[in-house]
Amino acid sequence: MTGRTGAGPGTTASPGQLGLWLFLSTEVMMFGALLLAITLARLGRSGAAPFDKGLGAANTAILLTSSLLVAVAVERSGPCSGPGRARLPLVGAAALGVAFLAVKAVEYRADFAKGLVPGPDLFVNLYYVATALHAVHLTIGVALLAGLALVRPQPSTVEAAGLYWHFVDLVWVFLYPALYLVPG
Amino acid sequence: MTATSTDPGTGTGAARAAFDPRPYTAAGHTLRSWLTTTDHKRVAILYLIAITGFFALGAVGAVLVRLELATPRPDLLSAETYNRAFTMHGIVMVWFFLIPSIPNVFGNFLIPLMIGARDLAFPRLNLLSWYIYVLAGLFTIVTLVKGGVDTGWTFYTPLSTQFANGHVLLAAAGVFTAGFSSILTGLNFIVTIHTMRAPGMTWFRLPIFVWSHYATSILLVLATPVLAMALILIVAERGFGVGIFDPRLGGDPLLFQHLFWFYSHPAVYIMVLPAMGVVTELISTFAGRAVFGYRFVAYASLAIAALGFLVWGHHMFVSGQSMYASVVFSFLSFLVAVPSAVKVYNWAATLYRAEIRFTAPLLYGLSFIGLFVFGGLTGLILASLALDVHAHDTTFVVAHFHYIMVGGAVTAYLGAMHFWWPKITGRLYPDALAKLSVLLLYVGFNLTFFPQYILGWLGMPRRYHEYPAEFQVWHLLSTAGAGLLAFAYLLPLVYLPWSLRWGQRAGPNPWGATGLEWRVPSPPPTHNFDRIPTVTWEAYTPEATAETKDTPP
Ligand SMILES: [Cu+2]
Repeated sequence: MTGRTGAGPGTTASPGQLGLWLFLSTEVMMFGALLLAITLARLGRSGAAPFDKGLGAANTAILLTSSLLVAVAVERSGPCSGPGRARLPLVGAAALGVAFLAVKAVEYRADFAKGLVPGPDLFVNLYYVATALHAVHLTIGVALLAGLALVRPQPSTVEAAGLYWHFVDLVWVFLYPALYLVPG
Repeated sequence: MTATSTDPGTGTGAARAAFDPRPYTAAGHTLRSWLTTTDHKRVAILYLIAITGFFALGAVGAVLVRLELATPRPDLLSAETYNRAFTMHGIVMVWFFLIPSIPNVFGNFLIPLMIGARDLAFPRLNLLSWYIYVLAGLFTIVTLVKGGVDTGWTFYTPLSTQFANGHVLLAAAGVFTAGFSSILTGLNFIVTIHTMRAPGMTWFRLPIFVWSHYATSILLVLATPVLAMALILIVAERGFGVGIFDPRLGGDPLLFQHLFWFYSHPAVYIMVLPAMGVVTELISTFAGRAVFGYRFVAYASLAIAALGFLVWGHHMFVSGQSMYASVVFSFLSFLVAVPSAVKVYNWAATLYRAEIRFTAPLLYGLSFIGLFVFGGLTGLILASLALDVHAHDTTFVVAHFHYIMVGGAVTAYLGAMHFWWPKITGRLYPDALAKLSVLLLYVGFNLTFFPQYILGWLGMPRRYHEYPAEFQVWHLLSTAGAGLLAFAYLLPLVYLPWSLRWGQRAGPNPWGATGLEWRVPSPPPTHNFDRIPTVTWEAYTPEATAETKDTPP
């Protein structure tokens, strides 16, 4: 018994939703600090970004598609849908998440082969920190979506996991141009 | 109709039938019942106990530092041990005492009571944040005692990544983990204040204490992750050899200072905003009046929180950052004085020509104002570009932030303790002893830290364990003051626990205060309110109190 009265004047968001948004705002500040550092490092170096734009673009496409599937899953978990209809898009999105990680692994290998290793270039070093941290977040997301596909989740749970997934996607949407595209 | 009448739509029959009128302290006496509780009041007590322990540990570091500095020669501690002593003092006091002190003890206990709710929005999350805090704290303490960290609480690079001996990585991990506790607490408070207010409890009927905690929570949620990132980057460099801050590895040492102070300046307001909320309640209660300029005081909290994000560069005037950046940071730092002064003037106006009752809690509140104003004014000296060059990294800076964080925040913490103790425990403490401890605190504090202003201005650097003989008289005064201050902090540790057993019983409202928390019995029942109150009066309205004072609990 939490004693919630629901009488907070002018409040519509549920406590869970509000809490999740606040959690995501924490994450925004964390990645924001990293993006700021990346931007500063970028300004301090000349020449185009050395990373593989093609693989980066492929991964962007993969994540955007996964977000679409998550949106479909949220739609299908609503009360008007039959049971288990959200399962397929959830599995699809989680699989795309795994595909992203696989592409990322291939890319790391290629980077290492090219000699793009942590070293005297702050921008390259931050690339590794940022992409690794993003991969950790994505792995948690994959586990969440896969877990939801196994049970029969509440619509609000699917929505919450979806919100997290979109956020991880959004971080990539900022990391991709900052790390791969901005000309020196 | 009494002030605590029930909205027919909210006080459900089921909730009322299940209402247990026994105080929260009687809900279970086993250790297990405390360690698994989700009652916000019991979690607050858990925090109180843990925080008191960490305060004592942090104080040990301070005692070592002051003893060493009593003589010019390094005779008590080696340079290495001295560095570890002040680092332990700083890390423990900042992250394991000051940041959680008022919010997690008094915010936890009081916010639901003040807004007319039965608990926080996420009671289990609240307990989880206590566990994270305690485990992170113990882990950090073990690290500090076993391996030692000699970087100071600021973890400055390249010292912390290249040269420091000791468990920098582990200590950083401990602080990083404690950050989650801060974030969860901030998140819990924001959601609670948004969604759990009783019917009629509009934003502008909230006590200023709640406003202050709302502003604090925003800082906790938005600033802590930046510290987390700074610590992650230290781990990346020290643990994985990825150069971020070390110039030899391609890193940028200034980057750390930017990230660190982006958190640590707002962290000062995490410590001071709740203190300001406490002092506002003390002043209003013992002046017997509504807070003068309520809306200005409320908005000033938000203004301080917002400006707090924009001034971090004032710690870096001598770091070689852009001169133009320094000019902007200096100007913005001066601006913070405006909402701070708004609060001080409004407190003064609340007291002006009031029938003031000089109780022990109010004396703590007045001490806060004196020490905070002095610390704030010397802050303006440090915010000035030219003067800061002279005072930077001297004990002048140490004195300045101790006036704010100890003279301000710790004094307000004790003020809160003395004000809400009867509510929390149902007992009154001996007033004369409490007044004596305020007096000792005020004299002892000034004796400890005022000489450090003079020393700093004369050129005594901070973090040095030996100094020229002509400085000794000031250092001796400071050490003597620290002894007095320690006594002032120990005294309540004697008479407050004493009062638990032998203190006079306090009624629901011993101070004649106006907040909702004073309209329930002392100690409050587990679910706070028999019926959720419907608020029809403005904040700090004494008539409503008069109505309920007659009603026995
Ligand atoms: Cu500052």
